[in-house]
Amino acid sequence: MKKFIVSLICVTAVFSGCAGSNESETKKLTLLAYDSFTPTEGIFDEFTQETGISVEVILGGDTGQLISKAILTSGNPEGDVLWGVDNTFLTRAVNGKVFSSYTSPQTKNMSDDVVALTQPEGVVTPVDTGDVCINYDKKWFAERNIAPPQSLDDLALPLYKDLLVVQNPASSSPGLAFLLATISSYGENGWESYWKKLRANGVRVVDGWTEAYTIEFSGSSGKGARPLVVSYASSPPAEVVYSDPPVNEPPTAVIDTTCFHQVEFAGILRGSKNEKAAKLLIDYLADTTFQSDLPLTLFVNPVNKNVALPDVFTSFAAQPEKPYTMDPAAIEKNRAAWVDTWSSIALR
Amino acid sequence: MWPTLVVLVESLDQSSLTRVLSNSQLRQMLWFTTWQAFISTIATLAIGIPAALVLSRYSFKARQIIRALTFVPFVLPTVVVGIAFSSLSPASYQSGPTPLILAHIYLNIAVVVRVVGSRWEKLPTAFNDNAALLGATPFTNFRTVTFPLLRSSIIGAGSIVFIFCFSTYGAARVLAGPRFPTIETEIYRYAFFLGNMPQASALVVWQLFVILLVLALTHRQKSISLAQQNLMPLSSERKTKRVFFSIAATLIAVGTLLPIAILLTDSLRSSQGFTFSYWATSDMWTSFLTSLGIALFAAMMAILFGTGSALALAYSTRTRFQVFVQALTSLPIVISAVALGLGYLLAFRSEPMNWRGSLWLVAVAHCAVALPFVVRIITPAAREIQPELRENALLLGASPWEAWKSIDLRILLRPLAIAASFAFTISLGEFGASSLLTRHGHETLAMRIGQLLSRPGEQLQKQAIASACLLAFSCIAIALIVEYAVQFNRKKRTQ
Repeated sequence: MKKFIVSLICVTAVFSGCAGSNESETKKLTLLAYDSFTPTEGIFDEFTQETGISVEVILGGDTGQLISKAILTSGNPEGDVLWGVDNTFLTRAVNGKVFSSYTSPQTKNMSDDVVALTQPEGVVTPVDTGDVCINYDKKWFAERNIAPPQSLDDLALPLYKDLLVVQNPASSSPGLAFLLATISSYGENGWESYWKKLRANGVRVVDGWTEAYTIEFSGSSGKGARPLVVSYASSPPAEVVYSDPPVNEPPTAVIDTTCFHQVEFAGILRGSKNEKAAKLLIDYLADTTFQSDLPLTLFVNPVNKNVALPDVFTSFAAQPEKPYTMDPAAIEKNRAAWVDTWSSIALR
Repeated sequence: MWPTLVVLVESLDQSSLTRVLSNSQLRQMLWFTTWQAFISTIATLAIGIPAALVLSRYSFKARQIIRALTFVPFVLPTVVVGIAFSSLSPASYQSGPTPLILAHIYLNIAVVVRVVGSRWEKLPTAFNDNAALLGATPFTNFRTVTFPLLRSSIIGAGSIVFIFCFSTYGAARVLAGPRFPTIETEIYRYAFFLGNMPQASALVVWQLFVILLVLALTHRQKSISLAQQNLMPLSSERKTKRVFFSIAATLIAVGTLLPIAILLTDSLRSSQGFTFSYWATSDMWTSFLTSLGIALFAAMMAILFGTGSALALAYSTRTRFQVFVQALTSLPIVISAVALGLGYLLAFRSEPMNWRGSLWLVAVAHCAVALPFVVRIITPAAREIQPELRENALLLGASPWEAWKSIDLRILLRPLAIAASFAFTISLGEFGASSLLTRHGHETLAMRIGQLLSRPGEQLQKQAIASACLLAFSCIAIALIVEYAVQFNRKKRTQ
């Protein structure tokens, strides 16, 4: 029993040690981000040197969880700055009064259409863009001498029957993006019949990106049976960077006529006690040092035009010329109805 | 437990509650969740009871190891199990109710083996022997002698399994697929994807209602007290029986080991051949240490509070008080891990209790998740302690503490050890609440697996698989340590 008490005290001491070190004297900012926020270790050191402010990162689940938490704690936030609300969630976050308005002067270095998404509210600053596109397994098509599909229309052809796996838009962000791409492409009146055709052509729906890409898809590490999957335009360079042994060519490629454009934003959380410092952090996130770290760590495109893209990214990441996109307010207004209709077509 | 209620109270409304029944999709979902949980429970019992028989009635060499192995599925992240199964047979992998039920059996066998097994160990063989002597067939023997004595533990195990299967999340997402939503996946979807908190809370209330109903139907089971029996050496049995049991034990071992073996070979192999590199990442070992620390703390707290509640339940004679404590300690299982995490976040958001992000809050959440199981494991054992034993000890001049230590604690030692390993394992594998409460740099191993699997790239996938193996091995290790510690202790005392 004595041993037990002693060890209990020790463990408590260790844990309170962790808690105690949180309250240091230097000024500190807390950055909330989604789980896959993985910039280079020490990327905020330069910011700390310049400003004397240290940055702690809290990961809060996927984007949906992050935004739901932020809305529930609106006005009394978990941190000072939030990274990673995208155009499919922006309006909900703004309606939930999550942000304290601030747009960084760095927006002068960004393209107009990206900046336009933050209007008319101007509450957040764009930080990165990415595209959700159909990826295909190059080897699978080469071995069978079949040309990979070229468009959304092609996916419904009998030649590509039973080859595509997509995510449920009711639970997955790339799944929703792909649904939005089809709605933008075929319009309010056409998308439902398109999905009926996809279903007849054997589209497989799984719950999330991980199941689709690592279990069902044949082109990555998994041993799935389907050579077509909804993933990101930057998935091929990620396959190169994380390949083992090193390869010069990714095993996968992107069909760049099927892409939906996502823009992610960062904003100051309303109720932060460090708004002034938080503004400096937003500026840093949109500035060249941090932006040039993005392509090979988060596999997204920087929004700052002064950043040059690394070779592996320019060679293998698709840069679709005309990706589909949609007004954030329109997405928020129709999402629930669209997803319901989609469920009745594709699942039941 | 009140943090969980914060979420409910803040966002519940009546129309969402009734919509669960009026909306045909939600009604279908509720029905599917219920019947799959029911079938899963029956099937798990049907397979788990024979497994418990083999593992708790007979002594043979690999017994401890096989019993420890049954623990592993319990803690492996479902996505990882999915990957293992799908790489076994990629073509036949098809989502739907059948794979979900199979997975539930695989995941929950440990519960039946533990709960029913620890009771079965105590049944005197003389009962069965006498019955057999009087001409009872083995089946009649089981039906009229063994089953009545085991009933309370079977019902207890069944209720835990049902609750697990009813609140299934990871397995449902990966294996049942989007065509078959369950109540927990719908709570997640409404809360986080649609941002519809009232509807999510309404579903939490429905979940609460069903599970409390199950608990109420199964909570009070009288059982007669039995002393620990010596195990029969398997070698003393007739040959046919021996062969049969050996095959059964091997099947259990292979069934649990196969996915792990697949994962292990996968993690040691790159396209260039054998490699250790996926096991050599410092991140994995850092998060492993974090996980161990949290699990240790959570298990100790769960044992402390769990034993307290269990003893209060067992020693008290007032039924109303018993029901209250039982309900209170059961709350965390009836509330989804996601809602629990949200509750903690909201409850501790303002000064002076702004503890969000501190590591030990994660441990507290894990403790809350594990607590109901600890209580359910210890209470039946504590109920069986005859107060006269303690009173006699007091009469003979023992101090109250001495009397408690030499009577109660000694009887409770084994259930305590089992409960501790349960709590430890639950904390190691917990994912939902952690992911809402953890800070960057303090990821637990289970969280790290999820994070690695959510990005493309072979190296990351393999690192995730290596981490999953590590998780599995630590569970086997913990289960083995507990098995041997209890046995060593028992031997020392009997000598």
